[in-house]
Amino acid sequence: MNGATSAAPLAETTSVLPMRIAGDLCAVPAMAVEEVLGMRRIIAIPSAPAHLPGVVAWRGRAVAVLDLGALLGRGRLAADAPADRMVIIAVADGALAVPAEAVEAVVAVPAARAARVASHRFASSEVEVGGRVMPLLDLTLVAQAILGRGGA
Amino acid sequence: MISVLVVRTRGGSDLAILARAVERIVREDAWTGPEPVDLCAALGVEPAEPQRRVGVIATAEGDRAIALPGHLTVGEIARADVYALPDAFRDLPLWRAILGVTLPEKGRPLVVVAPESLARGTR
Repeated sequence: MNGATSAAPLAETTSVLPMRIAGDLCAVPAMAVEEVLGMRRIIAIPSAPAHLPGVVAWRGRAVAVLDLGALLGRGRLAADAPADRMVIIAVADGALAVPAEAVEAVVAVPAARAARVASHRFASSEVEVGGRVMPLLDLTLVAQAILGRGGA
Repeated sequence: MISVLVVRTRGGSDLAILARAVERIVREDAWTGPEPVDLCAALGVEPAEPQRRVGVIATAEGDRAIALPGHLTVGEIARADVYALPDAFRDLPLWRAILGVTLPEKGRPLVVVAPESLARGTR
C-alpha cells in the first residue's frame, strides 16, 4: 500500500446563475452576482453607446447598464419594454447592471468544460443546467470589452 | 444646492446646466461672437423647444456661447442628489462635461452638464 486513497475524487462543482438575455440562455458565476432586482427604470445617458444605454440607481449610486444583447449584436433593449430582471454583477472594482428577460435559481453544476465556446464572444467555457448547455460568461472578457480593463 | 437651468428634451432625460457658468443669456441674433455650441446636438438629444437664445460663457479664450431654448426653467438640485457617472462611460466624447445624473424615483431625471467644458470643446 502506498497510502493513496481509493475513493474517487469529488466532482468539482461551480455555482452559476442561469438567465435569458436577448432570447438566449447563458450563465454567470453566482459568486459575482450582487443582487437580482425586479424591473428598474433605466436613466438614459445622452450619446452613450447602444450597449451602455444608461444607468440605474443601486445602493445609493449610479450603476452602468450593460445591454449584453446589443453588445453581442442580438438586438438591443427596447426603451419602452424594460427587462423583467436586472442582475447586478460585480466586475473588478465596480458593478454592472445587466437586464435579463428571466433569471433562474442559482444551481451547482459540474465544473465548466474547458473547451472554449466558439459561439460566444464572452464565454470561455460552458455549463450544463438541467440538460441545457449554455455559455458561462467570463466577466473579465466582458469588462475588457467595454472598458479595456477589468473594472466598471 | 446647485442652481441650474433646465433644458427640456424629447428624450428620457432633461439637461441641467450649471447656472453659475452662464454669465448672461441673450437672443441668438444679438450674439456676435463665435458660432454657438449646440448643447443638445453635442449631447445627441433633441430639445423640446427651438433654440433661440444663447448663454454666454466666459473662458480663457474669450466669451463663448451655447445655444439654448427660448424658454428655460430655473431650478435647484441638492448636491447630494447628483450621482457621478460610472467609469464605464469615460469614453463618451463629453465625459468631462457631464457632471452626473439625478436618479429620481418619480419624474424626469436630469443629466447635469458643466457648460464651460462644452464651450471650451474639451473632453
